[in-house]
Amino acid sequence: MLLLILEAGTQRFGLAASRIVEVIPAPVLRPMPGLPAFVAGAFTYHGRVVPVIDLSSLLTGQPARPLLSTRIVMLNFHPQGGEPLLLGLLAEHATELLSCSPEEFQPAGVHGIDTPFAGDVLIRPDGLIQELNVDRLLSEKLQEQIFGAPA
Amino acid sequence: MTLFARWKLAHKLLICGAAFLLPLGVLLYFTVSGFQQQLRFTAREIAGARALQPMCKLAVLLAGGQWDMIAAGADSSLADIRKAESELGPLLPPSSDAAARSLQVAALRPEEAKTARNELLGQLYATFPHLAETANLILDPDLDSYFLADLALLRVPSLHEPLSRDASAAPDPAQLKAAEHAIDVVVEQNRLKHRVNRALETGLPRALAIFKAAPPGTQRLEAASALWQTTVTQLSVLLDERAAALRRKRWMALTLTLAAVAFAAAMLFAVMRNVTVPLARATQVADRIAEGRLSAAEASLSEPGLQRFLGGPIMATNGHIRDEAFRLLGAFCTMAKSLDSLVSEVRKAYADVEESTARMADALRQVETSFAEQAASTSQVAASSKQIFATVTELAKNMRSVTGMAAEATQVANAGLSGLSGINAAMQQTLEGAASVSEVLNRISAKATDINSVLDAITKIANRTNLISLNAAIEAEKAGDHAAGFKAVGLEIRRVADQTAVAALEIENMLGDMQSSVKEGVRSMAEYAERLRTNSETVTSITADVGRSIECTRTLEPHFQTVDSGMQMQAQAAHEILEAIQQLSRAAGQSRESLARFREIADHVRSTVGVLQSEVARFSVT
Repeated sequence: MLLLILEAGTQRFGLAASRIVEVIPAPVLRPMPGLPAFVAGAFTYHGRVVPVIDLSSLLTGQPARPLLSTRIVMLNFHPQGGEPLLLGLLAEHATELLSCSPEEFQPAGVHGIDTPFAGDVLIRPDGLIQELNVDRLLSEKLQEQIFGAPA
Repeated sequence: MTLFARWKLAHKLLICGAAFLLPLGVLLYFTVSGFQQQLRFTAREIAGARALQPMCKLAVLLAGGQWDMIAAGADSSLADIRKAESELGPLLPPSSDAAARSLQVAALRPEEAKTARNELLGQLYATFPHLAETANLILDPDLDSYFLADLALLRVPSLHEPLSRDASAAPDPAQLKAAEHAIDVVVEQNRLKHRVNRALETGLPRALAIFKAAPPGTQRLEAASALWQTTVTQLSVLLDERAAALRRKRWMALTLTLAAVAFAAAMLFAVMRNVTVPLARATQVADRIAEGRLSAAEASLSEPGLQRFLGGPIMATNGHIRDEAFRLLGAFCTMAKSLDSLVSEVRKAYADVEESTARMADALRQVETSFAEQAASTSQVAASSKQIFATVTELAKNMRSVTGMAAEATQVANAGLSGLSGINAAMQQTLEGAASVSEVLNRISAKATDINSVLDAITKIANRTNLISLNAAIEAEKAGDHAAGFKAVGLEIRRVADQTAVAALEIENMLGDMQSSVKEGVRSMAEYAERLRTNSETVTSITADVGRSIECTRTLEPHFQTVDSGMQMQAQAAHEILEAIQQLSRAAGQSRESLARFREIADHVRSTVGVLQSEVARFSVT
């Protein structure tokens, strides 16, 4: 399987290529007031308004730096019992791909309350890579606030 | 002296007056008694003259020879003569009475009567010399009365007698001449006495002329009788006048003398009172002053009774008063007042002096303390002066070496000035070099910016390539095994893109480093140039300063020499000060001795003032 490597602060996360629609440069975002700070804003993607989540802000509290390698990863988000939705994930250093087999993953052990989207870990010589669980990125309440109630 | 002291002045003056009265009384006595004697003498003469008149009348009567007239007048005349005998003693013998009686009967017995007449005439003529002696007429002191008496008693009778016996008898020329001479003398004396007795002066010569011119006989006898009677009358008048004059003189002498004595007594009393009353008052005042009761003395001087006696207030300064006693009293008054004020002043002065003495004693103690302190200070000052002298000497020595060093410093400063000029030039060159370096660096920086834009473009291309390769890889993964070739191509593209990106990143890193280095270099260079400029300015100003200071050092050198000579003089002056301080110390010692002596004198003054106070305390002042 193929993983896209992302960075938030000093930590590295891996995102499965099967869930990725496209990787694009970070455009100018329209702010979305009344929502948590990690909701970076929204922009139009192929004629659709797509909300963007700032991974760095979600994990470390610091917004992502405006670098060339800071890109938006367009994801297919599958809310529970609903239609798949398009979601932008703003992340730093989205330039690397990693090929690995699913057997290499191992459980991380303890699941934090605030990070329900953090999944199994891949141990490599140059550090730890944790897999992101895309469907758990947004809580139900946040899904309601962003997308409205499920149809 | 003791006898004199025991008597009062009044008694002494009285004794003096009495002593003067005694000879005065004696003189008065003698004068009055002399007048009395003369009066008695004259009275006897008057009595004689009075007796002479009836005798003359009787003789004239008898000589006339008319018996009836003789009988009528003889008795009365004889009676008068006998009456005068009671004063003068017996003049006619007792037989005269018998002869007179015989004359009464002359008509009966003419012969007997004729004898009796002759006897009586003889007796009468014989009596005249006796009468002259008895009645002192022959001893008369005055020439006029003497010669008049001589005429009346001797000359005229001796002319008359022969005529009475014989009327036709010629007068004795000797007797006539003597009579003429006597009349001349009488008239001359009378004229000399300014007592112009007309009767005497004209009557006597005329009567004598009539007598001389009278023809012999009855007329001559009558003329002789008239001459005789005139003479007798004039003698009587003259003697009466003299007696009256004598009485007048005696009265005048007595009156004048007594009046003079009375006046002298009054004067003596007045003078005595004028002397004794002020003197007694002055004595009283003096006693009171001596007792110290000055107010009582002044009170006794201003008594109304005394003022009334003196006729006004006592004024010693009144120049019109010349009486010594009054002046003395006035002087006492002034003295009492002056003494009063003096004593008051002295008391006040004593109080002042006492206070002053106390204060002086305090002051003396303070001064003594001060002197002790001063002496200590002086010795300290002397020690300090010694130190100063030593220090100043040392300082002068140092100053000399400083002057030498200053000269050296001036030389060094001159050398430093030329060195500074070199530094300034080098600084300017460095500044110019820095400016050129800065320019080069700016140029480098501009080139780096150019490179950076190129690199930016490369980076953007690499980024884009990376993105494309990423998306291609992801699409290939999603396609699975169907797109294995596509996947390889994608991987290859991504590898190239990554390498490009790496190279670009490296260049970017290098360029960034270089750019930051250039920027840093430019900034540092600018700072350096700025600092250089500042330093250059500082060096320039330092050079100017150093030049000025060198100039100052140059000008300082003569100053140092002046200071050096001043130091020498100061050292000398310090030495002189040291000597002066030592002299001062000696003087302070002498002053302390003088102060001790002054203190003794002050004590003496205090004791003297105490004595004065006890003396003044005797006086009581209002």
